[in-house]
Amino acid sequence: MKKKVVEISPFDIYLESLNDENLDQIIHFFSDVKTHLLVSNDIQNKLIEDFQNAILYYNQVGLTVKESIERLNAYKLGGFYTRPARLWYPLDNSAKIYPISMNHGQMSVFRLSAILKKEIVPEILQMALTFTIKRFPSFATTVKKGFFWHYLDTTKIRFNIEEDNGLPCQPINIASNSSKTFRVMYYDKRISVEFFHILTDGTGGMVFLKTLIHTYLDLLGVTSEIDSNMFDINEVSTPENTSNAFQNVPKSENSSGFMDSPALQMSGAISRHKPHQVLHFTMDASKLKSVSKSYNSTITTYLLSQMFLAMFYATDEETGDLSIQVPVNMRKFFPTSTVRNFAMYCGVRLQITDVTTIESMVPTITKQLADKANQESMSEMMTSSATMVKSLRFIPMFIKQPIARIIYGFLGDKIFSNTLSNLGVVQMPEPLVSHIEKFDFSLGPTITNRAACAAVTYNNKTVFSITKITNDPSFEERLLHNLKKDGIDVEVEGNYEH
Amino acid sequence: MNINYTYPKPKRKKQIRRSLKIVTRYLFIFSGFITLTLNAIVGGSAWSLVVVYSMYFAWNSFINTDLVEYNLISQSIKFIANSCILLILLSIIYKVTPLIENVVPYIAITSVIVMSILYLSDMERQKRNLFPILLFVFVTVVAAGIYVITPTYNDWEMPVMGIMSLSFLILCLMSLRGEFLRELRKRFHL
Repeated sequence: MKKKVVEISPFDIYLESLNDENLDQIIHFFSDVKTHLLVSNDIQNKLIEDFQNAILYYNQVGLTVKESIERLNAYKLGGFYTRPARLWYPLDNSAKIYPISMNHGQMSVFRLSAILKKEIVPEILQMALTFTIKRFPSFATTVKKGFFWHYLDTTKIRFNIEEDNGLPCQPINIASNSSKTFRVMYYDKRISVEFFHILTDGTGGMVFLKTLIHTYLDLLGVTSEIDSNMFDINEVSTPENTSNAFQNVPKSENSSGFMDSPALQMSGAISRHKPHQVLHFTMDASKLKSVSKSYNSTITTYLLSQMFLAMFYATDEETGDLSIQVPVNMRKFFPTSTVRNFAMYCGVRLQITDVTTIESMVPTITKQLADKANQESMSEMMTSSATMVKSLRFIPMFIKQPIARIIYGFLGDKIFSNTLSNLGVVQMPEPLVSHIEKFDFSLGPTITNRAACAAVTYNNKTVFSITKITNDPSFEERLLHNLKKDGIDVEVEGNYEH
Repeated sequence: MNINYTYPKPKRKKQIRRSLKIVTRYLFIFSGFITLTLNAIVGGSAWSLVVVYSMYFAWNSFINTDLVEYNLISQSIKFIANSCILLILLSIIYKVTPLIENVVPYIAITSVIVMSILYLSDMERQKRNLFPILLFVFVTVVAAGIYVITPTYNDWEMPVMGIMSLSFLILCLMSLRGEFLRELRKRFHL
């Protein structure tokens, strides 16, 4: 007869090593944890295992039982796992297009990463995510299909971390009922969060990443105050945090269209694997600023000019326009604490014959940004978007979706040649600054644009990231060459070519 | 360019599904075109529609699968609905009336029974997957209603199909009450 083998887990061995007082504390702690986990046995067991792993880690680094359970206080779980999943969120105006236009292998995903000074502890990162997610109820959701529109439906699953697989911005599997719409990954010293754009934009995503890092470092004993651009995980989410801010914007009298003529594309062949590669150019922010100033421009304008020059080098076309999409954060015009999408975009367009020198392009780009990225123009675009959503609302999804896919398939991103999304300067509370090396921000692969660029600055380091869908290195090589020519030292990092 | 690789080396994934999709897409488009052309040349009944719809059915069910809500209920309903449409098509093209009046209701009745069992066996989880069944049930009720008021009405299958579907709706309403309405509000929001 076969004997049932009972496996002794490392946590059981740990328990056996404890004295009575510590054992009592642990037993009491886990009974407290269980009162916060009124979910299916499967999920409860996994979450309890996460707590056990974290306690084992703390024991390994010499923390007492009392200190460990204080850091992992079950109070931090809040009521998230004790209440039924009832909340749901209609998609905001700009998110509505993402699920109806996505395809197998093509999904709007972006990645935000923080590179810390020390190697990431997965056990603690997992706990940080478990404690953080409740503060972001609109992220603890899965995509569902309605009769007219998709929506986000709350899901009370264990939100697990994953090891980075070296392929940034891959589509997220959202097919099952308990699928997540974002993923938290780690590798070496880096914590990355990849979001399906349906959930949030770069600014909202950064609030999440900063909150996650704050919680992670807090669990490692680095305490600090909460700053205005992150959330206190022990506070309740307000309706404004999850609101569709587009609805609160006063309608403009005029509306503007989204259409434009097709722009030139860089000439490299599109790779079978998307993205082909993601590259990060790390630069000294003060040097970049002083060089930009020497051209009488801002950092964004300077980077746009450099991108135009690099694109000119990377295309064989001789006539037509090069155009760069520039996302505009609407929060600067209509302040709100929402972490949902609240961004529009404008296009900076130049005839290829006008792409000559930075000095000659800066005034044109500055003027275009001033004309197109102002409050009035953005309001007009938002009004158009609201009108379009309103006019499509009674059309059932089974009609809307195939049409949207066909239109998106034909047009896609063809009116632009590239994108530059500049998140600006990220700030962290003083005690955390010395624990974080830098941040980076990568856009997901596009359909036809051979590259999509994003930038973020932290602690005097600007990281300019390029997501490529071609194996032609002309764009990034020229960009690097031109930046160096301007006296900017660039450190290039990236993933292996796919 | 000197790149410092700060990501792990990715594991090569076999892209069998992707390649299969590309090959099948072209194969289906080509076959569809050939079938339609042949049918137009040879003449007679529109048999090519059955072939084209069958290819669409296979494409939609096995190759280009749903990206959202890919679960047992949604896929079963999709399969059943497509089968019924194919039968109706066969019945119209080859003028086999029992297919519409008898076989399709049999399939629908069996499906409603199976779905009810599936729903009742794990109500907590399946209540969130109800939408495809509700749409299916709605269509069957409407179809049965239309059939009953037609002058040729003489078989029992269609009315039974309607009654079974209505019963399932009542079962959902009674078991879910407020949640049923909340689910409808979510699914039909504008």
